[in-house]
Amino acid sequence: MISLFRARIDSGLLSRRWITSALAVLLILASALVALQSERESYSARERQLSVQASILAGSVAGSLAFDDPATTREYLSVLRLNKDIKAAAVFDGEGVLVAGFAVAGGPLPRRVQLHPPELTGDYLTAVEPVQQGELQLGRVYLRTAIEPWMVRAGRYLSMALVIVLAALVIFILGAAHAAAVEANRRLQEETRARERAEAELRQAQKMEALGQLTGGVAHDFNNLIMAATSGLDLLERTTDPTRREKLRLGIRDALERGSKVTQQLLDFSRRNPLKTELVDVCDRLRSLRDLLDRALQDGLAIEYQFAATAWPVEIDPAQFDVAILNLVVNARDAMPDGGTICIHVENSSNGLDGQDCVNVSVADEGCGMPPAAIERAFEPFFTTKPVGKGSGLGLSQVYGFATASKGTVSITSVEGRSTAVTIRLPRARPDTKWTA
Amino acid sequence: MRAATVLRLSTFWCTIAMLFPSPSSAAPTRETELKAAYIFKFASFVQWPTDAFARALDPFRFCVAGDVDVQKVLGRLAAGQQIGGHPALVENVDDHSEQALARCHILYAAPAGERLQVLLKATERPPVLTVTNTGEGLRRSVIRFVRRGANIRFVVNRQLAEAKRLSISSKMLAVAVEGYE
Repeated sequence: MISLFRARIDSGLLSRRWITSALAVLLILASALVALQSERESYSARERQLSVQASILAGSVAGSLAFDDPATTREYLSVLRLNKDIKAAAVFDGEGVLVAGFAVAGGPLPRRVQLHPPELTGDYLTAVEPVQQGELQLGRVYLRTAIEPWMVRAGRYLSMALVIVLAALVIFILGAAHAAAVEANRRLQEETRARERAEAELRQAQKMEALGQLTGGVAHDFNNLIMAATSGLDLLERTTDPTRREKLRLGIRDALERGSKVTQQLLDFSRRNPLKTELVDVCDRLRSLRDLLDRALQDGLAIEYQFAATAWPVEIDPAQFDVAILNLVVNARDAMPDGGTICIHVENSSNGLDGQDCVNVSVADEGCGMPPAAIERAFEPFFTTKPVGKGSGLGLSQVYGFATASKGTVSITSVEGRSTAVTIRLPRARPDTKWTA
Repeated sequence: MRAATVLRLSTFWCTIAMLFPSPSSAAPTRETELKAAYIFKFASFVQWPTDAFARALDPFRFCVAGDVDVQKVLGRLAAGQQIGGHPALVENVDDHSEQALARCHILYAAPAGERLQVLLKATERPPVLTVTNTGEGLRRSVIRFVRRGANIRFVVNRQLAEAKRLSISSKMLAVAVEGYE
């Protein structure tokens, strides 16, 4: 029941203007009703009080009235004078003649009185009660009390009304505030949804763009290679010069091999090609790669190797590992056209991949760094920041493919203008795996 | 008969009539009125024990001895009235027996001296509210009228009232005066 109520509030039930207005009006009406009721009750309480006072007076003066003792009657009446509420009191005998009485406000005492229950005349409440003893009718008593002057009452009710109106105002304001909050929330949710939609669309567009680039790139490269092979074949068919024929043959084979290499790289990226894995100590492997890497360098560049004698064994395809390292070194080289030091760093780590043991291999340079936009797209195939002819855009995607196929990760850390480091994390091989190389 | 006979007869009867004193035909005095009124009112301010009435509809007896005037006024006041649900009855007890006297609820004994003592003795034990005008003599009454200036007041013998199992309202006691008891 309460959850239903809550749901209705959250849905903005209280936000409707007319509901808060109705509540405020209801509050005012209810308090007016309460005030009216309390007024009525206070009046009837006063009536009862007057009745009781008259009865008590009647009882007191029964004896003195019966036996003609006006002095005692006056004594009892004088006691009543002490009560500030009583403005007039009188005792009449059996013939209706006034025996004793006083009047301090509201006019003189009446000459004759008829029996009547408490009734209001002007600002005063009067009552006439019989004095009797058993069946004896001895006389009558007359009492007059003042009720609160209407101005005092009005003042009291006005101050209460002020409080009520303020409370109603507070309800109204709270209602309005709540409505505003609900509205703002609704708008926020709408905006969030709109933004999410836009982001999804953007991602989709980016994906399509990347896909377009990929297919375009692939088509373009293959087109070039096919054209090279075709023209080579054409020329081969037309010439008989053996030297020329040998040159052309080699050219065609070269084009075909390059095509095969592109295919291989693409397959590596899509991880469709199962790697031929072995247990490898990356430090050993790097040491054997030294010569090859040095040949990739130019003047002014040097490679610094930072690793211990051995690292934990990892289960990887060593050939792909070589290619990955080579790609990274080439990138590092291209980032430092004016020379510098490339640092290859290997370390065992105990909480790299989800808290597992892993081997971190990182290649760092002191080059121009990468802007965040480039880092985001670096692993995309055919994405390159190098000028035309200088890069295929497939190097980092091969690294990515290799790392992922080896159940590891690769990440780029770069400070624009200062340095870049690419780190490959490879999981440590399980102890029961057998060495094969 | 002739006129002379009529004259002689009427003279005779007038003489006879003069031999017997007739009740006073003058208007009752203020004192009589007051006393009668008070005696009537006493009945409403006093409570009799339950055995004072044999049955619920038994009358309330006002007994008067030795004061015809008071008896007359009291009779007028009590006519058709009820005391505590009992019809009011006024009786003259000048020559009633003791048993008759014991059945009174209020006895107003106007005479003094021997006659008073006899009346008081007869009503000593039963719950009869005795009202007299004097405090002399061996036996006392529960209420005694006294004069205070132009007013009639009364003295109440509370111990006697208690002994007779009569409960007198404090409203009445408040207006009673002190006197020799």
